[in-house]
Amino acid sequence: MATVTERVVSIEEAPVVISRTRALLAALRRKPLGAASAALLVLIVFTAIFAEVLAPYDPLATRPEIRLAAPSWEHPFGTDDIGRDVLSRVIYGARISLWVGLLAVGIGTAAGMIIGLLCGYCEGRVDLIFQRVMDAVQAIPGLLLALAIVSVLRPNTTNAMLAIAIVIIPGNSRIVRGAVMSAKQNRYVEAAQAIGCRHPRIILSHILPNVTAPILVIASIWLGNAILIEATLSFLGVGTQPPTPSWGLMLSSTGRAFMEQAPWLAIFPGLAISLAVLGFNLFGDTLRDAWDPKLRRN
Amino acid sequence: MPAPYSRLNRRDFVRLSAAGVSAAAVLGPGRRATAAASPYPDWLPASSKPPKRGGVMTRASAWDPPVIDPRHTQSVGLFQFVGLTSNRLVRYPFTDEANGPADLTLKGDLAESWQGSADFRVWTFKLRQGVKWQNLAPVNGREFVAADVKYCFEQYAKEGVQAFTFQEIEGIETPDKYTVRVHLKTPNTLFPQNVAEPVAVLFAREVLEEDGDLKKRLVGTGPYTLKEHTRKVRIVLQRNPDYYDKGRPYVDEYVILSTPDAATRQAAFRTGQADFIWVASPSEAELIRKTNPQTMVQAYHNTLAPFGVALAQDRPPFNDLRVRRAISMAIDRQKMVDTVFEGHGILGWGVPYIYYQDTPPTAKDFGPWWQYKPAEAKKLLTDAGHPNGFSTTLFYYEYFPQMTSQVQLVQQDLKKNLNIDVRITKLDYTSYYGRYVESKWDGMSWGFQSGHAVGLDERTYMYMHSKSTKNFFRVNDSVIDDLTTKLRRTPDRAEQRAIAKKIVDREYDQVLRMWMPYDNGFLLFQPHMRNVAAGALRRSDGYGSPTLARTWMEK
Repeated sequence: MATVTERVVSIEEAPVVISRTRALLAALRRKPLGAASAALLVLIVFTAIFAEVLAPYDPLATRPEIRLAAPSWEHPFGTDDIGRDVLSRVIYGARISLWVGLLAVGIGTAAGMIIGLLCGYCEGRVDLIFQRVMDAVQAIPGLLLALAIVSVLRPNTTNAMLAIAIVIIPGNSRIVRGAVMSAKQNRYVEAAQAIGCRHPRIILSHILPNVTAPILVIASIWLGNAILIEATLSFLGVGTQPPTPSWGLMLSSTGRAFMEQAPWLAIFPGLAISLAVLGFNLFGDTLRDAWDPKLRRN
Repeated sequence: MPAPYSRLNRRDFVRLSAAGVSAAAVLGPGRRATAAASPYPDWLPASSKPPKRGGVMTRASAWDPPVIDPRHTQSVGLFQFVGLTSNRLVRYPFTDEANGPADLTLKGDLAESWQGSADFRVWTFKLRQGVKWQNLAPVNGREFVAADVKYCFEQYAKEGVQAFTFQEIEGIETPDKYTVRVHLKTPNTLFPQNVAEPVAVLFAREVLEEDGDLKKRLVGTGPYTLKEHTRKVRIVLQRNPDYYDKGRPYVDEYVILSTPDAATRQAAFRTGQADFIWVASPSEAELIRKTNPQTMVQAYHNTLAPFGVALAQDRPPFNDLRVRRAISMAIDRQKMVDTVFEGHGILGWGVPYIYYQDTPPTAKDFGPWWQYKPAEAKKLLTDAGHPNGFSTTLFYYEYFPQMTSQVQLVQQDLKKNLNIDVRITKLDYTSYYGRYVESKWDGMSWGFQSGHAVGLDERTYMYMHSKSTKNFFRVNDSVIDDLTTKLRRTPDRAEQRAIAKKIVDREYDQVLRMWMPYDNGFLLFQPHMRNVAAGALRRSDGYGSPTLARTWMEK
């Protein structure tokens, strides 16, 4: 009798592995904040993609005669210092922010992943050299590094993107390296080696799929940070250049200057930045909860 | 621009949603942040009451001195106070002496009198006797003498940004302790004006000899001593009890707080922590007057514009006069004045109008190439071989927020009217200044002429002669060279006016410098401030700071 009970308990405690999509959907159902953040991100992406359709005006078209007009039915977010529609600029600003975020995080994540895979798999001298370089880069505060890079190059959106990517690389490489080292210990990797698989195949077919979850989680969180860094660089005048509608630039060039006369110039781009960053961070948290191997066993 | 909407479509929906958000975010009724032209006086006459001694005067300042060595900068950050610690040989009138903002009659500062030779190559200055350097080490209050002037002028000529002005000196004699005789390389009837500029302050030779530079100590003969300078924090000036003008200054201490943020500066003024402030627009002045109705306001009127579009006119396509004229005619300057500067601005010109006419120039005075005529501009550009426009660059530094608005409006006008694509780059101050002054750039720049000088020679020969190191706009015009040289050899005022007029007419005709509208701004003073008004191109919070030696506070 006692033996039967023990067997039942052990069957109940056996881990049930579910797919990532199902895990994510479950997490979204479980966490209303996660669901809200996902909805927010969908909205931002939708806005960025369909900016031409959604924006009521050309974001660059000036009408100085209606400058600094307060929010109204005609211009729901008001107009800026040279009479451009703020709503249209905020909508187009989503495109710049997302573009910079996705590309910078894409480049940073890809480069970090390659370095991490190499370091984690090869270890030894390759690991030592790469990781010391990463140490050196990481020793400089991210924003300062980005500022220095953009100052040395020329201030524009592309260079801001490159600078953000460079800031992202070391952290990502560390995470991937750790995950690779852990994955390398698994029996299936040993088995692959034993049957004579080549290193590239082992890395790409057996290790990489098992380290993508932490990469995606970190990337989603970095997206928020990248938007914030782009906004900061533009705010400091070394990112996107006028008249391109960028949330950070809108906040710095007109938002700050006309804060008292026209508060809407600071409120709306500020709100957009806050919502986008909040959205990505909350969604990143949700992803982590959903894809954490320990939590996925529930 | 979309047509009016008759039914709810996608865009209406977005608008409706956005309007809801705005209603929640922006409290209060909608308002247009624009205002009519200034209702404020352009001159605050001196007080007739007997001055009151004492008190601490404070100002929140946008600027910070990059260096306190007057040889190495013309920055307003330094000259917002160095005119109070140090004197010049001659000066422009203070508020309580001037008969209006445009009064530029020279007065004696450390020189009591001055006289030019018949050919205006030798200028003799008779110094004020009994003037002492401030009682600070290493000078310790010794007497100011002619040798000090000779030393300073020679040092200025040797290195630094004032060198061009002083390099025209061939030699200096000091026949006695109180006489300085300056020999110039070429005749210059306007030389006294040049040494009346704020950047010609006299410093103590002992400091330079001991320290090797003037970066740590600033000792002069002025009404105030430099008590403290903490970079990007504050500057504290203390009354100099040994100042030669007995009884002055009236205020015991002048504190300048480094406050780069405009909103913080305005808050400081509103709460009484700052005694005066400058704001750019009528609406800003109105907003402050709403909370501080007793505030005294001076509507400031510039006699020139320090900023304009500088073209690389020594190379294509801008070396073609038709291209310059086309660009000039494609820019709507009046719209900038009416909107960006809320009607309180000037159209823009480079030489102070007071030297060639009695009233500020109107659009008509600038001639045909400065009128906004897009169709004619397009035709000119086509004739110049650019029917489809071209691409170029423009770099600038944002001295004030309205400048970014102007840059973008110019970009829009050129695109719309001439199909010229202008790629804008906003730089930090150091990069901008270095690149602009080096004059190695292509395309366009939002150029400047330094704001420190109001003298006619400075504004003509120094900034326009092809050989001048301050010819930042790259003017290379033989007519201008001849006229500016002739001007400095002409002592007669009426003739000077006629030549100055010819210079500006030539400048407009050839579009040598494309001046842009500039704000006049407003100076706001707490109600207890007396004798603090700003003169032409000399705001009392900037290069006109020496006038604060006569300021007092009625409280």
